[in-house]
Amino acid sequence: MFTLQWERDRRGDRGRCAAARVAHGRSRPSVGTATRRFAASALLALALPPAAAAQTGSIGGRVWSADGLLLRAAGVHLVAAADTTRRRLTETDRVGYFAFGDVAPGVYLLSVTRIGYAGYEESVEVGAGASLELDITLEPQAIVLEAIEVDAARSRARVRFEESAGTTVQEISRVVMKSLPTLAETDPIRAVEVLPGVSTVSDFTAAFNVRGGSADQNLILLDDIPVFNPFHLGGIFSVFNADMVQRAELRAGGFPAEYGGRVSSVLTVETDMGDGRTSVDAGVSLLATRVAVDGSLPGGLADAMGLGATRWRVSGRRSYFDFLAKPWFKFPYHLTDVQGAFEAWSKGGGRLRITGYTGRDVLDLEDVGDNPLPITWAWGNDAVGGSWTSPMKAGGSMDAGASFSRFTSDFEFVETGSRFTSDIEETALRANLEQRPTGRTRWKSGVSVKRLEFANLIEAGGTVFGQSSGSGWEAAGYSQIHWTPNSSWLVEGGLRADYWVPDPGDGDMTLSPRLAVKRFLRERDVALRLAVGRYSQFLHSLRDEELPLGVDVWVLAGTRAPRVVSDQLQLGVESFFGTGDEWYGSLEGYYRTFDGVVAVNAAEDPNDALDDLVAGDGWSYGLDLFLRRDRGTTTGWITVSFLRTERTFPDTRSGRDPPPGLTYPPVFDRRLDIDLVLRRPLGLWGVVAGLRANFGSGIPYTRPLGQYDVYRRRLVDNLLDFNNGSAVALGPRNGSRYPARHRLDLSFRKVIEKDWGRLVPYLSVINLYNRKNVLFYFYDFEPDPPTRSGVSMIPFLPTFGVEVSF
Amino acid sequence: MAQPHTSPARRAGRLAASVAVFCLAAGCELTEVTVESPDDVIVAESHVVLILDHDDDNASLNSWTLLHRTYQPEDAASLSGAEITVSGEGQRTVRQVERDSVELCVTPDTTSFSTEGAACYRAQAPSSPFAPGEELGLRVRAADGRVLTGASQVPGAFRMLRLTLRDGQCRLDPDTNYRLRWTPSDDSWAYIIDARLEGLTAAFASRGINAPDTLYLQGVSIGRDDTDMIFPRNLGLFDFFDSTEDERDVIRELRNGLPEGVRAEVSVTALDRNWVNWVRGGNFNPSGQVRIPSVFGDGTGMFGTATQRRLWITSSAGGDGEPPLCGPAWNPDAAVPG
Repeated sequence: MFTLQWERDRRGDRGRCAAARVAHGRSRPSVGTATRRFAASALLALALPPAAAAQTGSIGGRVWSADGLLLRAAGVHLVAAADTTRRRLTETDRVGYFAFGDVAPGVYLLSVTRIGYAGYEESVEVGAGASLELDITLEPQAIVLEAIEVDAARSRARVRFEESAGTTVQEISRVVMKSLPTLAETDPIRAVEVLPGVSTVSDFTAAFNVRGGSADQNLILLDDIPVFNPFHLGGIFSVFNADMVQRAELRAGGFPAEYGGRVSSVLTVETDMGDGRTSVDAGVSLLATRVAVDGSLPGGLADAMGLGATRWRVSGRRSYFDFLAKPWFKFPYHLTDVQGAFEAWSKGGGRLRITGYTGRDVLDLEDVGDNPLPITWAWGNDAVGGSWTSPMKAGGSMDAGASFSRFTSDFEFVETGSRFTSDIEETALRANLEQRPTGRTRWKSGVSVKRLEFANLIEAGGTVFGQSSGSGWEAAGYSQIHWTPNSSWLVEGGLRADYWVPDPGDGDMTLSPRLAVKRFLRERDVALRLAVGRYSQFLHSLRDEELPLGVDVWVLAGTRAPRVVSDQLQLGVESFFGTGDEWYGSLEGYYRTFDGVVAVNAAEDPNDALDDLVAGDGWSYGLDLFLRRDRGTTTGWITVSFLRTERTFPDTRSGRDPPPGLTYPPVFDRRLDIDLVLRRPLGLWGVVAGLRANFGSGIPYTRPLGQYDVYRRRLVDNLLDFNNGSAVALGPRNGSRYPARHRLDLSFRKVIEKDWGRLVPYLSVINLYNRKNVLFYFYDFEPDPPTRSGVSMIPFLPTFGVEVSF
Repeated sequence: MAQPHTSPARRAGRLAASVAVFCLAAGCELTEVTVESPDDVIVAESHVVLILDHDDDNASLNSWTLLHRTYQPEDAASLSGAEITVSGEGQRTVRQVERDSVELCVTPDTTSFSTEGAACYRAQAPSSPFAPGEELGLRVRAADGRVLTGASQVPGAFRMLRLTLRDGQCRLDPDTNYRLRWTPSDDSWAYIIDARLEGLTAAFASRGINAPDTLYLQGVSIGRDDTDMIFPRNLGLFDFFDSTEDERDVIRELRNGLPEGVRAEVSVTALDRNWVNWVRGGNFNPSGQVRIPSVFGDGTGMFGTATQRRLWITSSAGGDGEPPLCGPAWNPDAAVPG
C-alpha cells in the first residue's frame, strides 16, 4: 500500500524513490501573466519582503491519468530530503492542478496518491526563486481496497487542515458511510448526523440541524446542483444513492464567500464518476433494489466529438415491496430514483460534467381495503446541471455552469377533492474564475444568476384555504482570496454581494463579508483558527416544527417574508497528533445570530394575502469537540456538541392583536449531543464491524396542562355539537423536554472476493437494546388519574442486504 | 384429513414477518404512566349571532355562552352562578341568563358530554340591541370570582344575490345544484354555510342507501370576498371523515344535487376573526387541538360574533303552492357556470 511506503520514506528510507527527475533553477518556469502580476502585486508586496520571496521557489503541476483524465482530489506530498519532518501536503483541484508555494531551495520527494491509481514518487530539486511545473501521470490500479479509500480521506483531512483557514469541514467517504449502521439503505445525509454540531430531532426524518440553524438553512448540493427536500419515505432517508456517491462533505461553519443561499451549512455530495472502465454495482436491501453501471464512451465516438477521456455512471433504484405484495394485496407505497453523470475531458484539459437526478415517491391509499382515508401523495425531485471547466496557465481555471432543480409535492384526498400542492424550482447560471497569482495566494471570484419560483396551494371542497406563489431573481458576485503570508499563518478574506429581486417585493442588496485566520503552531500540527462572516438566504421552509414528520413547504423572501441574515463567529483549535497523524482533534466554539427567520402565522387574516408568515429572530452558541482516529485496527471518532439556541417570534397562538413577542427554544435545541463511531475488522471471517452510539439530551416540547371538549357550532339551530375530540390547554411554548435519547447501532459487513467480482453481505442492527426514545407524548386527562402514553422512535430493528460489484 | 404442508422456510418466513410486525407495532408504543392532575382552566365559548331578516337588515339576537373547563375529577365545582354580560357601543348591555340544563346549549343528540359542572347561559331578543359592524365586549365573572374578558367586532351585514325567495323559501329542481351568492360582509374572515337536510331516508331509499332522515352538513368559504358556494355539492367537507359509511354515501350523492323530497334549512353566516381562529386552531400537538383564544384572564375560550341569513330550500319539480325556483341550476359545463 502506497501510504505505508510513504511512511517509510518519511523515516528516511529513500531507496524506493522512483525515477529521479531533478529540476534546477528555471528550467521549466511557469508563465507569468498580466493578470497574475496584477492580482499579486498589492498583497504580495505587503506580505513578503522581496528578499524572502527571492529565496524560495515553488512547485506546481497537473496530475493526469494514463487515459487522459485530469485527476482531482489526488493527494500530493512534498517531503524535504534533508529533513523529513519538513513535509507539505496538498491535493489537486478540479482541473487536476496542485501547487506548493514558498518552498525552500533543496531536494524533495514528491509523491502523489489517488484512489484507483498506483502511487507515484519523484525526487525534485527546487532552486532559489525557481518555479517548477510538472505533469504527472498515474497508472490505473485495478483493485481499490477500502483501506486505500480511508487513507485518501485522511490525506484530504490533512490537506484541509493545511490549506483551509476558516471552514469547519468534515468529510464522510463512501467507505465510512457504508460502515455506519443504516436503516435499510446507506445514506449520505444520515451519515452526516454523526458529525460535530449536527443533530436531528427524530429518527423518522433525515433532515438535520447544524449549530442551531433550522433544517431549511442547510444548502444541499449534488455536484453543485441544489436539491430541495432530498428525502424519500416522508423524510426517513435521503434521495442520494450511496453507490453514486464518492463522498459527502459538510461545511458546518465559516464557509467562504463562494457559498451563498443558506446560512447554516453546506453539504456537498459528490458523484462517483467511476474510472471509465465498465463495471456494475448492485444491491438489495429490505427496502429497495438498486444498480449502478459505469463506463466510458467508445474511443472512436469520443474522438469524433473532439473529446479525450470520458466517464459515465448511471444508477437506478426502486422499492419492491409493492411488487412482492401484488398477488395478495395492494401495498400503497413505492419509490423510484434514477441518477446519472457524465464527465468528459477535452484534449486541451477542459472538463465537461453533467449530472442528472429524478426521483418520485408515491403513496396511494386509494382502493386499499376499507381505508377511510383514500389519499394519494406523490412527491419528488428533478435536478440536472452541467459545467465546463477550463484550465488556465499557472494552475488557474475558469468554469461556467448551469443547473435546474425542482421539488414537487401533490397530496390529494380523493373523496373530497381536497388538494395540497407545493412546488419550488431554481434555475441558475454561474461562472467562476480561479487563479494563483503567486505561490502564496489563490484568488477566486465568480458571478451567478438564479431564478427561483414557488407555488403552494391548499384547496378543499371548492374553497381555497391557502395559496401563495412568488418568484425572484438573485444576482450574486463574490471574490475571495486565500493568502499564506508565511508558514505560520493562513488568511482567507472574501466579500459576497447578493442582489435579490422578489416578485412581489422590492430589490434588496446584501453584502456578506467573510474573514478567516489560522495560526499554525508546533511544526504545523496544531492550529488556532478564527472565522467571522455574514450569511444570507432568500427562501424559507414552513415545516411545522412540532410535527415530527413531513416535508418542507418553501416560500421565497419578498413581501410576505424577509431574507435571513446570520452573523457568525467561530473560534477553535485543531491538531493532528500521534504517529503518522494517527489522531485528529478539534474544539470549536461559535456564536450565531439569525435575523429574519419565519414561522407560520397561526392567526393569519384570510383577507390579507401576505400575512401568512411572521418574522422573528434568534441566536445560538455552542461548543463542538471532535476527536478522530484514522490509523490502527480500530478507527472512528467521537463528537461532543453543546448547543443553546432560542427563537423569538410574535406569539400568534396567543390570540392577542397585535401578538406579543415570545422567546422559546426551538425543537432542535438539543443541548448535548454525543456520537461515537467506530469501525473495526473483527478478525473473524473477514467481517468488518461498525458501531454508532448516540446520546442526546432531551429536546423541547410544549406540554399540555389540561384538555377540554371540542364542540362544533351548528349554526342552523345555534347549538353546540360535541365533536368527540379534545383541545389542549398548553403550558409554556417548548417549556418541557423529552427524556434524553440514546441508542446503539451495529453493522457487520463482509467482503467476499470472487473471480467475477465482489460480494458484500451486510447486517445492520438499529437500536440494539431497544431504547424507547420518545417521538412524542399523548396526554389523556379524561381518566382520573390522567395518563401519559406516546410513541417511540425506531425500536430494535435488524436489517440486512447484499451488495454486488463486478 | 390431510394437514396442509408448510415448508420450514415458509414457517421461518412467517415467523420472521410476525416478529418484525410485532417489533414495529409493539416497539413504538410507550408505556402508559400516570401524571399529575390537570390545571383547572375555565373555557368560555361565547357567541353572538345577529340573524338578519329576509326583507331588510333588521336583526334578531341569539347570544349564548357555554362555560366548561378542562377535564377535572368528578367532584369538581359547578360553573353555575356566573355573571355574563355582552356590551356594545353606547352602554348597551345584554346579560346572558343561566339555563337549567347545558342541553340548551348543546345538541340533544350529543353522545358524550364529559365536562363536569358545565353551565349554559343564553340571551335572545327579536330585535337586537347590537348592529352589524359594532364592537362588542364580553365579561364573565365566575361564581368563584375568576374573571374572563373578550372583545369582538361583529361582521358587517350582507345580502343574498340572485336568489328568488318567498317567505324565505325557494326550491331546486331535483338532482341539481345551485350557486349560492352573497355580498361581502365587512370584517368577516370566513363564511360557514350550514344545512340541516331532512327527508333523506325516503329520498335515498331507491338508491340503496340507508340514509339517516336528518343530516347536518357544513360548507366553508374563506375570506371576506369568497362569497359563493355550490349547494349542496360543496357541503360536507369537514363532515366526511367523521361520518358513517351511509352518511358518506349521502355526501357523495349530494354532489350531484339535492334529491327530490329533501328539504334543507340553510344558514349563511359571516364569522369574525375570533370565531375563525378558535375553529381553525394552531400548530400540531399530539394530545389535542391547539386553539387560538379570544377570551383572556382567568381562563381561556372564544368570544365570537357572526352575522347570519337563513333560508329554506326544497327539492321538487314545482307545482301549485311550491316556493319559487331559487334560480338557474349550476351547470359546471357552462362557460360561466350557473
